[in-house]
Amino acid sequence: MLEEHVDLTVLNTLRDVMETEYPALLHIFIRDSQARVTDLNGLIQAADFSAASQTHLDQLGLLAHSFKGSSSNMGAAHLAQLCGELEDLVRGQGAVSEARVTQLVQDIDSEFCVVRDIFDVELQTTLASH
Amino acid sequence: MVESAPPERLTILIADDNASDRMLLSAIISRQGHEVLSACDGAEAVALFQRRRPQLVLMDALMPVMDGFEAARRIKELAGEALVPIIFLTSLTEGEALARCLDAGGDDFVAKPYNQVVLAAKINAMNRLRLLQETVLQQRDLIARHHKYLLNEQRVAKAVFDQIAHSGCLSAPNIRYLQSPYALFNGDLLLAAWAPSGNMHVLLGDFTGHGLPAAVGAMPLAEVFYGMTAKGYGLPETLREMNAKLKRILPVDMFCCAALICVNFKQQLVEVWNGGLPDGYLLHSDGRPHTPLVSAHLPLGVLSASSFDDNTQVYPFGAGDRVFLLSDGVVDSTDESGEMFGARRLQNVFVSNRNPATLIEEVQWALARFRGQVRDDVSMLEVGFTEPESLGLPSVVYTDSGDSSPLDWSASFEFRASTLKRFNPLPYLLQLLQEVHGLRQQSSELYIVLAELYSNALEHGVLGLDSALKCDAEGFALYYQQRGERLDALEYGFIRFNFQIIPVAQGGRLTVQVHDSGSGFDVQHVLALPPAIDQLSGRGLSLVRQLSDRCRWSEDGRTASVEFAWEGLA
Amino acid sequence: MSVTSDRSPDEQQLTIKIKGRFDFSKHQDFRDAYEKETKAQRYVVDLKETNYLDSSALGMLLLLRDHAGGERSDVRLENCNADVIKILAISNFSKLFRIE
Repeated sequence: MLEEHVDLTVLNTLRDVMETEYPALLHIFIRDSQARVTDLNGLIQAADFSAASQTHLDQLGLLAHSFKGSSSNMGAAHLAQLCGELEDLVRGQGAVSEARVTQLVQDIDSEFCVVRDIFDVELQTTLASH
Repeated sequence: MVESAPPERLTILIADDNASDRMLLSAIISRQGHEVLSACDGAEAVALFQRRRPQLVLMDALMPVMDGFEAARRIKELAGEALVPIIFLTSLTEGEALARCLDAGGDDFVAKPYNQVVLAAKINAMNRLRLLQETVLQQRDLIARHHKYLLNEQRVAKAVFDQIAHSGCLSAPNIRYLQSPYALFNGDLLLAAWAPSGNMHVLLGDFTGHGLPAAVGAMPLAEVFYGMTAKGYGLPETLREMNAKLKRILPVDMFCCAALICVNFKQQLVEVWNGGLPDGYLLHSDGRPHTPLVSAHLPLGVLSASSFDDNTQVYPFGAGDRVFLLSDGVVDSTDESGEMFGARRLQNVFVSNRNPATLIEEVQWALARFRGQVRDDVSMLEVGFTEPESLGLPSVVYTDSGDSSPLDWSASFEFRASTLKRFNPLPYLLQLLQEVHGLRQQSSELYIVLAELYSNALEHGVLGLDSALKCDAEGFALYYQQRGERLDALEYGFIRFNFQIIPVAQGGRLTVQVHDSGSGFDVQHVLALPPAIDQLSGRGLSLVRQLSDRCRWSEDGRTASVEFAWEGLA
Repeated sequence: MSVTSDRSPDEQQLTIKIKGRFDFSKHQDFRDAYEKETKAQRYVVDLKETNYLDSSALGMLLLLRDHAGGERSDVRLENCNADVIKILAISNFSKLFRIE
């Protein structure tokens, strides 16, 4: 169940590499990712949002690209994959379906909630063991 | 991790706007032993680079404020010639975006998620490239520095050498030459000097090799050439000394191909020795085909003194005649197909030449037409005949005060067969006479008269040669051939000099008697002949009569007596 | 190799062959070909495949002559083509070497 969302070997490696900074890394990832999800939602829910606006698509693409990179580094493979799909969608050729964008942002939002909960537990456990 | 050598501690700049990625990468790089500088956008990265000069940059492509492409361009610009590898951190997949990274100066990519092993390997590989570039730059700078030193050394060496080389008379009106300004370092050497007799000695030399090794021999050679010419030595003695000196100081595999000529303007002769230079040419004014001056000897510095051959060739040399000498590089110039310029093409230039003043240029043009480009490493030399009056006799500078000048003495010398064969006593005798200050004013005349009397005594007296032989070019060659043969075979005979110096009022008078062992000549008859103007023989006696104060011959023609007088010195 | 050397079966003669241009670039190889030789009484430089010879090559021949005993040496230059003969003639090396 947990493995579907976060790769535990990656987490082990991160714990090993970061040593005492491991909790800080988890904390920063959760905080920044929360901000990204908020930004994504803010963008598509804005009154003037249009899947035909290149500016909006570029903003979405940049956010998705960056989010993809950091979640892949944290072992959140499924989240990274969803971000990648969004990035590909908004950067692809031809018209972009607004419904598909909305759907992917919702999927990212809910996947992030699961990942965040897992990392929250990981953070508490790590802090408690110190 | 695979590590072939302990990793060098580098300072690495990390630029990523994503805080968790930046933090993770910093931790990985620190654990690998490097110092990390981190920036969260392109502008900050450029500023940090400028301040801290990291050796390597890991940079995200997409960043706010200034993206990675622009930052990479600026960092490469700031780095100048040094290689600062930039590795882009990106999960970009499209070819176009990757190409943009390379265009901006990126050297490699690393994709997210990070793999520690791949990261370490890439950093090591890039560092090797960086060190390679550093080495190349250091070596380039070193070479440039050495080259500068070398040029400066050559400049100084050339300046010193020019002081010596230009002490001669290359600027005389009868000499034309072409020589590269750096001929010295091609091993080419050109020297010319007046002998006290009013003869002119000219040397064209070509040392083996290039650069400094080719130049080192030039200095001692020039010193011997100028020193001995000034003292009145002839070609054979000067050649012997030059050969012995080069043999002594040069390594076995180094030598000097050279041609040496002596122009006797008064007797209208040219004496030639060629050892190892390409054929020179004697160009006749009367339209006869040119006479090649073939190398008949080994170059200078090869043979030991005992095997050295100082035999020279003597040719008539009058108004309009020229000697043309050249270093290799003219005849053996090749065109694109490998064909050589050759002696034939050179001779064609001689034939078609109308204006003697432009001969060297015409050879150069022919060479340039043949090769398609001009050569600047060949030496050419042309020596013409000029009436001695227009050249003016050389003036000799003395350095002593004159207080110790001897004024009342006499001395006798007798030179016998084995000495006459290979020793020229004139320079010694002249040096002795020049201790008398009053004679210095007329040292050229004195030398010429002594030289004439000596060669008459030797050639007609001791060797019994008939000057009537010298009536045409063929007989002329025969005369000098006989001279060489008879001198080689000489067993008996002598030449005696008597010098008498007496003070007269404030000045003084020198009387010289030259007596030989020959059979003498019919004094009345010879002195009654009209002075020869344009013939190959008969110049000697009229010169003697013209240049000395009194001269007479004994009845039997075996003793000549001349006088030189001088007034009191101011 | 553009410079090769061969010792005769009786070790009396060392033959050195030079291929192509005989100039300063062959300096080390040429010296290596004879410098360790102590037995040979006779040296032959085979110039059959030599198409050019410059003044540093003449210098190298002088070094060989020196090694072979100077004035008492027996050094032969064999199979010289016309261009090589011309160069040897200008420098009068026929007075030092047997040219065949």
